[in-house]
Amino acid sequence: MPEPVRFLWRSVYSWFRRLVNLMRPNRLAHDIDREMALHFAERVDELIAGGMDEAEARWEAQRRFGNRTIVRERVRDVDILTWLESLYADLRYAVRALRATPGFTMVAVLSLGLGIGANTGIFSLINAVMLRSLPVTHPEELVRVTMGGGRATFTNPLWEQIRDRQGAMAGVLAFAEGSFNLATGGVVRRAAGTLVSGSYFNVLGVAPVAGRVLTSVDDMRGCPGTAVLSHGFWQREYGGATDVIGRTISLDSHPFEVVGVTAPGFSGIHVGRAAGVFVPLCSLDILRENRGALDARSSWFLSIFGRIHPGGTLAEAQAGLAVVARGVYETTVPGHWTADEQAEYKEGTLSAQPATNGLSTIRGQYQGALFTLLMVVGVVLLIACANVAQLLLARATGRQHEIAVRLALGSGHARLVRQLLTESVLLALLGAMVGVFFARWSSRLLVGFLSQGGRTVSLDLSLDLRVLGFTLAVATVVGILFGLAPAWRSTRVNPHAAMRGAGRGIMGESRQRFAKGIVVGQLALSLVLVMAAGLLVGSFRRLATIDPGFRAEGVVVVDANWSNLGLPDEQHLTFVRELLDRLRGTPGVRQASASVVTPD
Amino acid sequence: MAKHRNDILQGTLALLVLRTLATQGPLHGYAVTGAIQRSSAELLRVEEGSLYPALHRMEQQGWLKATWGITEKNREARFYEITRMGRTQLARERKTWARLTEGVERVLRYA
Repeated sequence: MPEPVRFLWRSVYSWFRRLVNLMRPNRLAHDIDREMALHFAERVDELIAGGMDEAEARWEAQRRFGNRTIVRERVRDVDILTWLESLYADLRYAVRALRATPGFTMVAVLSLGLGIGANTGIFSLINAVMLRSLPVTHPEELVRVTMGGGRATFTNPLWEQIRDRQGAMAGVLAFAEGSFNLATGGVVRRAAGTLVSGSYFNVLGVAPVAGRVLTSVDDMRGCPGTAVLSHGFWQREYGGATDVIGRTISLDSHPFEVVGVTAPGFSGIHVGRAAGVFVPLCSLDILRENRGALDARSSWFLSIFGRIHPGGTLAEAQAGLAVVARGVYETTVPGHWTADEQAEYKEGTLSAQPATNGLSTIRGQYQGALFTLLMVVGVVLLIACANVAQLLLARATGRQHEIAVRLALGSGHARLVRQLLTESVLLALLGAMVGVFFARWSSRLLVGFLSQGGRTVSLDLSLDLRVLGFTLAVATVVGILFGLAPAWRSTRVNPHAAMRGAGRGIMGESRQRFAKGIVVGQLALSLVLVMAAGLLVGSFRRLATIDPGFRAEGVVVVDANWSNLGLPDEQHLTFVRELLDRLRGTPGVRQASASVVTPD
Repeated sequence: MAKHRNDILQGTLALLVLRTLATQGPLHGYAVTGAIQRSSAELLRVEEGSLYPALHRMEQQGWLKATWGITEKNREARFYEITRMGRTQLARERKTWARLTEGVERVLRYA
């Protein structure tokens, strides 16, 4: 073993041994006593052999050895982790001090809990929307294929060309989002659905928990209806039944065979949107009854993602796409466009951008709002801190006598400050525990707000290491923040003066100034907060009552789906007219009209 | 209690203990005191209160290895033995000591 390695090994071993010794202090003390007893006995023997009588020898041995207790303490300090021991002692003392004043502790923990919880709640949302990578293998390799001009939706012919021509990426996938009607008749029951290319699961590296995932074999023209359920959908609709594989599910009144369920956590590439049911792209022919939707050259509905080669770069993928772009566009020109439009179409370009966190519409929409909210709750936390600092200061005044006694007995200022800080950090950590519970509730509430208006936002809000780390960091910083000033102030006492006061709780002038300073700061923060909250509520109300340009009162949207009637194309319009006439005849209905795309 | 003139200079205790254990094999704390006293012809006397913290520190540093054993008088004792790291350290400390004494000697002679 080379010396540095031996040294390292030795340090770790010694550290471990001192930790073990700390766990069993009695055993250690006993060992030290045994060792010193031998020394003592040998010395007495020698002195007696030199001619002393026994009592005299004992006394002399004692004298030569010096203070046994001090020696024992010094040996012990070598054999244990002293810093850990003093931390443990500080913690025990802090717990005792907090338990002695349960009212104070409860108020402090609750107000810190609310402050920390609000911050954790908003942060877990920011984490889910912006920071978390997609739950797929190597999300950092994912890129989104884009067109020139910031567009990124493709037609199926374009996708097929890109899929067959590109070679610069390890794999490409396409998907489109929509919804399916699960009901076979009566009231429409909508569920999120995703049309995916055969390569989708393979490229993402998503595994099934039951059955299998879709592969390129499932995605051939003229394919039978197959479907893979997302874990959430499986739990909601089937209660997680294991015999779901092989069952038939009705999607827009067409039978699909369930072949598998995806692993929990994966909910598609689109963050904030539930994936629901996955069906292969070729099912479009089943769903649209062979109306050539897959060959429509001007039907833009697909998003394309790719995975770069391990160790490859984004630039390589971009270069590879640029090379094939010309061929891709030239073979897919929409025949019914004008010559000018066709010429422009052929000039199209392809590129790629990083997509580690997937795709999200709520990200762009709410990014600013979420950060504003985080700032607001940050101020709330500051106010909570100021509150607790006040309480601590008041408490410190009550404890002045105790602190004065400890100072008089020789405690160092730094040691006392550390003791008081341990107490405040402990308070903050207790607050963080309360806060985590509060955060679970508050982040769900916020998602509820985002989901209003016919759109469901589904986010994975589970606590991950990043959220917990954030909470822990906030709690520690907060604990030091509100604890440091009171701890510093309360140890700056003159023991003599304080002892004369004998615990009567005198308050020095400078401390009064300090307390007033906190109140002033608190008032200022609260004022800012009240104003910010007012503005926030104002803009929220304006958003909710946005003028759509028409009178929205009394309007009811009816979602109608008659694909299971199997009507030929030319009869659809007649059917809609008849439906509207019947609706108009219904009591309570004044007007009725139909639209394909409905504002929500 | 007045300080002994022959108390061991700060920092040299480790050197003396390492050297003693290197030449005389495993010893317990009391025997180390005796050995140092005898080898120095009673010129040096180990302060007993400092010996044990020093022994334990050297053990933590990996220079010594301690095992419980029985003395000839059938008493339990903790025997200390020098390790390979201890021998390296001994060589290092000898060099430091030689430099120190040489330096002091030169100052006394020429300053």
